[in-house]
Amino acid sequence: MQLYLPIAELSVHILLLLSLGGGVGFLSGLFGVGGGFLMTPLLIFIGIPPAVAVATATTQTMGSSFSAMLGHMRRKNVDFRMGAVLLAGGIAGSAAGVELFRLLRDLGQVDLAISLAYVGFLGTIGAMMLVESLRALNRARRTEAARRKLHRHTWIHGLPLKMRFPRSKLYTSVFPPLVIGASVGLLAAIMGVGGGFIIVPAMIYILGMPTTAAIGTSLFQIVVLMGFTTMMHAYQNQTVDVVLALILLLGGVIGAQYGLRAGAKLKSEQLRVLLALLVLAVCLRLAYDLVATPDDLYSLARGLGT
Amino acid sequence: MSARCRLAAALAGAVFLSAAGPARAVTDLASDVSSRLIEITSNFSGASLLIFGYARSGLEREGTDLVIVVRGPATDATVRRKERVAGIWVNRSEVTFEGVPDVYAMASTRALDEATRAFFRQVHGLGTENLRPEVGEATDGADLEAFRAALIRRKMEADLFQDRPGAVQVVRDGLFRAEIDLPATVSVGQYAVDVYLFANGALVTRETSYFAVDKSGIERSLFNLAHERPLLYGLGAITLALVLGWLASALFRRP
Repeated sequence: MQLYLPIAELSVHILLLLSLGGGVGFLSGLFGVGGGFLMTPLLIFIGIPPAVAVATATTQTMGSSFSAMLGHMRRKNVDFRMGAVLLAGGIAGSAAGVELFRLLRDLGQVDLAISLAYVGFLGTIGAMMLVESLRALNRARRTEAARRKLHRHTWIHGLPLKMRFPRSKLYTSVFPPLVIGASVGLLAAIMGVGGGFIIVPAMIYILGMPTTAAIGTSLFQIVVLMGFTTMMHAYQNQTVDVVLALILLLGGVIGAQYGLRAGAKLKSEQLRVLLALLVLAVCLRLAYDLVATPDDLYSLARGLGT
Repeated sequence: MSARCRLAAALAGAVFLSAAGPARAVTDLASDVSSRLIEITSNFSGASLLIFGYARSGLEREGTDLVIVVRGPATDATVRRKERVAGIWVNRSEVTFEGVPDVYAMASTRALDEATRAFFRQVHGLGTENLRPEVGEATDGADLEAFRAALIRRKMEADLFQDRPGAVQVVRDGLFRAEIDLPATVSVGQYAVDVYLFANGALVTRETSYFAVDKSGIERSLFNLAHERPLLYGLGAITLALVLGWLASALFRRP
C-alpha cells in the first residue's frame, strides 16, 4: 500500500518503510548505535528529500534508541552520570556544529563535506575497531580465562577534576568525556546522526568503559541529543515528517528488541567485530559513491531537496 | 474513483454539447477537466486527470489537430553539474532556472511537427523541447544549453514532464478526450490546462481551464501544524517517538 508523506510530499510503499525501520532498528538494538548513519542515506536513496531524511531519521533514531535504552536500563547498563557529562559536551558541540553546517552550506559544499566526514570517520573507526576486536577475539579463544585488566594507566588519568563513575567502574577526569561528547555533538550536527558509532568505540577505547555500559550509556546520550535535534529541525526547518517517523519507528522499535536479544547471545568481542564490519561496509559504500562516475552528471534540486 | 470521474466527465461533456451557444463565434472550442480539485490524502499515489471537450469545426477534418498542455505551479529549479576533482565527484557548477513549471504534460492528436508549425510550438512552448525557462543565476562559463537539457531530462525521468503525442483521442465528431497521469510527487498549487486547436498547422484558438492540487484531511492538518505551530509539532513528534519506544520495550519485556 502506498502511503503519502505530508512533509516529504511524496508517497512510498508502507512495507518498504516498515522493513527499513525494522532492519535499522535491529542493528540499533544489537550494537547500541542509533542507526542514523544507516537510516539517513537509505531514506535519501529511496527518494526522500535530504533535509526531510536527516530530520526524520533523527526523530526515528530517538524513538528506537529509547526503546533499546529501556532494555539496557533494566540490565543496569546505563551510566547516567557519565551520560550527563557526555551530554554537557554534546550539546555545546552540537550548537557549534550547526554554525559550521551553515558556513559549509553557504560555500555550497555541504553534501561533499558530509560524505567526506562519513568516509573519514567510518573508515578510521571501523579499521581501528576491526583490528582491536579481532585481536581480542583471538586472545579470548586462546586463553579462555584471561583476566581483563581493570584499568590501564595513561596520561588521561593524570588530568584534574576527577569524578567517580560507579556504574562504569571508573574514576577519571571529566575532561575526556566532555571532549568526546563535544566532538560527537559537532559531528552529529554536521552528519545528522546520533554519533553512537563514534561514541561507543570512544568510550570503550579512550575511557576504558565496559562494552555493555558503553552501549547503554551511548543510547541514553543519543535519546537526549536526538530529542534536542528533533526539536530544532521541527522548529527551524519544518522538515520532520511525523508520518514517516511513525512508520519507521513501528518497524524500528520491534527490530530493536530483537537486536537486543540477539546481542545478549553474542560475546562482546564478536559484537565488536560485527560492528566494525558494518561500519566499514557503510564507509566503502559511501566512498564508492564519491569516486564512481555518476549515471547523470547533472542533478536537479527541487523544493525541499536543496 | 477514476470510474466516477469518467462518468462525471461524460455527463459534463453532454452538457457542453448542448451548451455550445452563440457566444463563441467561428471556431467553438470547449474543454474542461474531470476534477477541479485533486486532493492529496494518505493513500495518494498520483492522480489521473481526464481532459475532454468539443471542437465544433470537427476534428475528423484533415489537418485539424489538438494540443493539450497541463502546466503546474512555477518555481525556481537548480541544476548542478558534477566534475571530477582529485578523484572524487564534486558539484562544481550550477544554473538556476526561473519560472519552471513543476509539472508540464503535453498531449496531442498527432506528432507535434505534423500538427503545428515550428513558430507556434516555440511561441506557446508546446512540447518539452520548446520549453525555454529563463536563466536566473548561473556559474560563469556554464553551458546553459546542456543545463537546460538536463533540467528537462531529469524532470521527464520523474514523470513530472511528459510528451505524449497521439494521446488525445477523438471520440467522434468534435468530441475529444485525453488522460494525463500525474505522479505522487506533484506539488500543491494551481494548475492550468490549455487546449490549442490547430488547422493546417496554424493556431485557430485556445481554451484554458484550471484545477488545483491540495492536501486534505490529516495530511493537510499535519502540514499546517508543522508550519504554523512548529513548537507543538516538535513536541508531538518527540512524545510520539518516546511513547512508541516505551510501548515496544514494555510489550517485549520478558518476565
